[in-house]
Amino acid sequence: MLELSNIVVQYGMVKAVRNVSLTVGKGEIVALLGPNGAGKTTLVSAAVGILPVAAGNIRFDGADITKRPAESVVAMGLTLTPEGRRVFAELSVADNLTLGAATRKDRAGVAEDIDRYLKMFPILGERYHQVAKTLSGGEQQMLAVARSLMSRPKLLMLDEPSLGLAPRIVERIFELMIDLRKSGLTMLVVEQNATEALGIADRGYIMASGQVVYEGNAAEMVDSEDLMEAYLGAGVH
Amino acid sequence: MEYLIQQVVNALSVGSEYALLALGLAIVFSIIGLVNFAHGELITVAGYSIFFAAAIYLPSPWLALPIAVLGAMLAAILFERVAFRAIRNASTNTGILTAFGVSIVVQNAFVIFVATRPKPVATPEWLSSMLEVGTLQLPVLQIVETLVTVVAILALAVLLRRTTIGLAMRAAAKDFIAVRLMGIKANRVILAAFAISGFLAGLAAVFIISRRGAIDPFMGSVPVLKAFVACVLGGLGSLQGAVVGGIALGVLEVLLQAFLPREVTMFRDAIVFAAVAIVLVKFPEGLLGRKHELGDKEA
Ligand SMILES: Nc1ncnc2c1ncn2[C@@H]1O[C@H](COP(=O)(O)OP(=O)(O)OP(=O)(O)O)[C@@H](O)[C@H]1O
Ligand SMILES: [Mg+2]
Repeated sequence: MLELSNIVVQYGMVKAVRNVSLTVGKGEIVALLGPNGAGKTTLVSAAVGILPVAAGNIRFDGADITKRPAESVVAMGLTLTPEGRRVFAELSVADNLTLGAATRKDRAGVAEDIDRYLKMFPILGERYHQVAKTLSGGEQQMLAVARSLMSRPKLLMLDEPSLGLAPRIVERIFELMIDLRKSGLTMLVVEQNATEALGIADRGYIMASGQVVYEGNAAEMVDSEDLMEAYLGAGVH
Repeated sequence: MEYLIQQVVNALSVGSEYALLALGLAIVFSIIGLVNFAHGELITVAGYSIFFAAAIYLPSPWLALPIAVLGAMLAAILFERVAFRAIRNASTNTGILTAFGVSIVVQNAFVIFVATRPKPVATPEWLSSMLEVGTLQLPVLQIVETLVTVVAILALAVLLRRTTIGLAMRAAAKDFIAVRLMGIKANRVILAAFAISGFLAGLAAVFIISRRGAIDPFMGSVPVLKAFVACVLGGLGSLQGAVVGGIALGVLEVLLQAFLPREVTMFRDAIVFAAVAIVLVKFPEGLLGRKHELGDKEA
């Protein structure tokens, strides 16, 4: 569904992503792991079109989207819940969700989706008219995910959705991803919590220094202590 | 007493004019970080739009009003397409220099193709008439200007709160990339900001032109400076700040003019700017400015 081939992304002269290829098939959860600075955020940012690729090719849903800007990629159904959530801090929960649905014309469907996500995240219903900056980190993450879902993506990329959250909330986020998969959503999840991410994923990739250094079946990856030790170090529990 | 009321009405109208202009500067600055020093030329273009329309065919002076507003809006959109879009991701300095460039080109275009001399233009006569309330005489223009400004600001507030594009503009002022991740086109948000800034400048232009009765190629230079000072005073990039700064500046100017001893009034602008400087020492971010809050980016 998403095919990244030989992607190179540079910041000035520095290559942050070097010749990376990665695929996500329909209905899969794919985990993208790797230490700080490996280039994970850079890769997903390029995939969604907020960073230009210096070389390589991106295909989504059969179309070449290599040169497409983010606004058009998102409209096609590929979206990103960015690292650090980036909710619209000064806007209310309601307005955040409204903006999430900006590409849609079906008002009735949008209202239905809002109802659905308020049921899925009751806390957002309670805080519906509050500005987003008054939400806790975990609540903001729920809002960020709900906001992404409002565009009805076919493939959702989540960049470190559990970053900085309490264990209980982290667990909740992983349960949420399992639920979303059941509803037919395909996901690419960037994570530091390697074991948990591989626990819900079908396949995994490990990046280090801008390159993919391992790819494989998620279940096998969790069981391979050497691998986890070698590439993820502190990421293993 | 009558004198006081007249001066207050006058002060509010001058403050309104600055607020309209400052708001236009601020809305563009808040979204793309550009201090559009060519904003004054929107007033000039509005003036020449009336002038050209009158030269061709203008059956009613009423039509001067929509023509001025439309002219300024189109000019703002054109500036963005032709000049500012190309340098959108460049540095602040590049932006300021480009804006000065646009300003010089527009001024000289009118010098070359029309004339350096002022040209008279007609706006509806009722705008220049007096309203009599008892023994009190008040210029209609000043009252209308204040009312129009209040309505325009309220309308803008509704737009920014109730429409998707308005919400997107507010969000883009803090985090443009996140707005694009909603599938919202950057070009549309920026175009909307320029169109609004042109609309507000067009409104202000109508009043500026009725006051002066004439137009010239450099008529935008002083108003844009005042608007910039108003923005800085209120807090650069803050829309509420632009309104508060504009009104404060206008009121201060008029009241100093009215109540200072005659020998000192020639130093009015120096006194105003000194006052602004003192405010900025106390509030470096402006009256309503705050340090940028970027939300929960780092967790
Ligand atoms: N805006 C930028 N300008 C220059 N270099 C950058 C920029 N953003 C990231 N980099 C560099 O690119 C490399 C990859 O960064 P990236 O953020 O993609 O890593 P990451 O795998 O997401 O790390 P983390 O797990 O800490 O989020 C790093 O060396 C980083 O310093
Ligand atoms: Mg990252």
